[in-house]
Amino acid sequence: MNFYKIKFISIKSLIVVFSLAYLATGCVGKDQQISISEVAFFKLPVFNLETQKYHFQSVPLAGVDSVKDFSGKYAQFFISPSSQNSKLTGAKPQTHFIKTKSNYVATNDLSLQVATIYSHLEGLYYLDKKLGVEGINKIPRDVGVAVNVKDGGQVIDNNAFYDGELDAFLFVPYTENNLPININAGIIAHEHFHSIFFKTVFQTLIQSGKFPMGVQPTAHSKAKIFSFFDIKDLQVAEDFISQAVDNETQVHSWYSQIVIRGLNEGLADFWGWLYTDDSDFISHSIPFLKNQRTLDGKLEEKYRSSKDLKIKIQSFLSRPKLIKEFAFDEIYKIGTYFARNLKAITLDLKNNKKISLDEAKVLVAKTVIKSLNPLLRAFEDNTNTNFYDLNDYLISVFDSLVEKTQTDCESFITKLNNAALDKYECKQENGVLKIVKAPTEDEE
Amino acid sequence: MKLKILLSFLIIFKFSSSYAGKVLFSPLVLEARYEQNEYRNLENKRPRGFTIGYKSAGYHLDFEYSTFEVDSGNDFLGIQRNHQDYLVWLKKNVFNYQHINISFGLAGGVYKESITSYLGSEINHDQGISTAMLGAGLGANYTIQKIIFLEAELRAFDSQNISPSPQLSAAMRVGLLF
Repeated sequence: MNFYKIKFISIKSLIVVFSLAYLATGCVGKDQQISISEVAFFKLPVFNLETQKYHFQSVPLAGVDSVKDFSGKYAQFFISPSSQNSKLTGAKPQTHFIKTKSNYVATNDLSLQVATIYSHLEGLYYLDKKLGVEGINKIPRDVGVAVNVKDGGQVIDNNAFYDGELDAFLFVPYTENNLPININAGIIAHEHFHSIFFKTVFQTLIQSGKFPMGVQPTAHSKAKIFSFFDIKDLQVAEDFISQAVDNETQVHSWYSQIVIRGLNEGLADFWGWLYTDDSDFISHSIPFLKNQRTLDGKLEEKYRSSKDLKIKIQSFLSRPKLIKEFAFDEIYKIGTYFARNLKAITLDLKNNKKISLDEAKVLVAKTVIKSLNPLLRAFEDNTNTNFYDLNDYLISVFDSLVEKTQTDCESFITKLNNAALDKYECKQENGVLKIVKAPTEDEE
Repeated sequence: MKLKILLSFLIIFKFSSSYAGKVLFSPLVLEARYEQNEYRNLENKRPRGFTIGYKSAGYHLDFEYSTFEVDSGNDFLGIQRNHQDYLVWLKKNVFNYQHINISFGLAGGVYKESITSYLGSEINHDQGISTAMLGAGLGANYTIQKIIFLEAELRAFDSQNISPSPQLSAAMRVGLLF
């Protein structure tokens, strides 16, 4: 090697060689573009039913335009976003992956979280398609990560929200040493269901003035300045309800808020199981909620009768400082009651109809979607004297079920009679199988 | 591996130095390299490494090795990223004043990244494919007693999948000439 020959190379030649090398290597595929028709494989945490744990697995993702900000057909992401004109706005996260022989592998936790959320929003889009409801939500979905959220001045962490006003998912930072919420497939499916419920039930009720805006966390106007979202949630409900002049209206308003939000939470938990097969999906990220929120718990445990709920609300009206906490607690008790029962009904239908678990899940999920319309109608017609009976929801699910049999009806009756004060029975009415209240001893 | 590379270059450069110039070895390179993080803020990755090269009157031919590590995540789900780059620099002295030289350099080479991911008790290792990398730099070097070599350099790197593009860096090195 005669290095002295280098002396004959001019700087011009160096620049020419360098430029050619740059064009040949540096510019090609600079943004790691993946065409929308292509499928790329990413190494992501996936829940394994056998081990009941998350493991890294190669997951095919479609429609990813760029792995540099992970925008694509199914989702677009914003980091620490704010809102403008009821839209999520802000910078896109800078995601980073290495390319191995077979996969893209995230080089930091945020990139992994963003790719995982994308994969589940893609999966949930296909679930929606299977259920015939893919038109409810537009794609790509807007997702905020590392979102700054405050509740009463306190910064919130370890949570996720669907914001109906922004039509966006908001993931706040996760500070615990468990599975981050952004990786938790069940929680993502739970939030996804909230978007379906918002658009099929809440939106109409809000537009008709029956419910306050802010039934979901709502971006405060300050967000535009400070990039902080201020959760109003139950505070909005309280403000709305406190405008009512008489106690009767306030009891009715709190009752309606608790029941409909309880149903929203319960159906969302059912959706988490539906998507993952994981009955304890919440506990992977929030272990202290395991006993409260597992879908494998006792079916009757969480139940409160409508009458009981009314009496409790009445007693809490005189303790305004505690009513929000009471309402919050009741919402999740009602929610878990419905989530557990819907899971149990799915397993019963699988056995009754001798179909696969997947077929039973699709059947019940379609029925739940159908049941949202009668639920909306019931709350639209809601008057002060008309309290929506919690048992009516399971009856309405049964009414929405196609090709129901006597055995199916008995499964529902068992669930209802496990918990309800009133007793129910199956009855043929005009050739249609119905669930009706059983006559009491006095009536007999 | 790194030691083998180092020894090979030392032998090659020592052999070639019999024609003209001197071998340069710098075990201490202090570098500030600014990479865009997930929030799109610039973050100094502080690579460490070494340089070995051949220095003639008008040119340097250097081999530079740099590495840095970045950890993210929590105790349950963590990612450890290891970055290594291997660059050959060709630098031309464009201005000389006594013992100070100003040089302009161009570099070519590859970078590799490996990822160790933790998920609960599961550990995964993934090795990225080597990616071409180019660099350009402007530096000033000063020689003391013909054996001690000090250099300060401003550089820019470009490659696929690096952010920002180009990526800016400032390096200082102390070395020996022999």
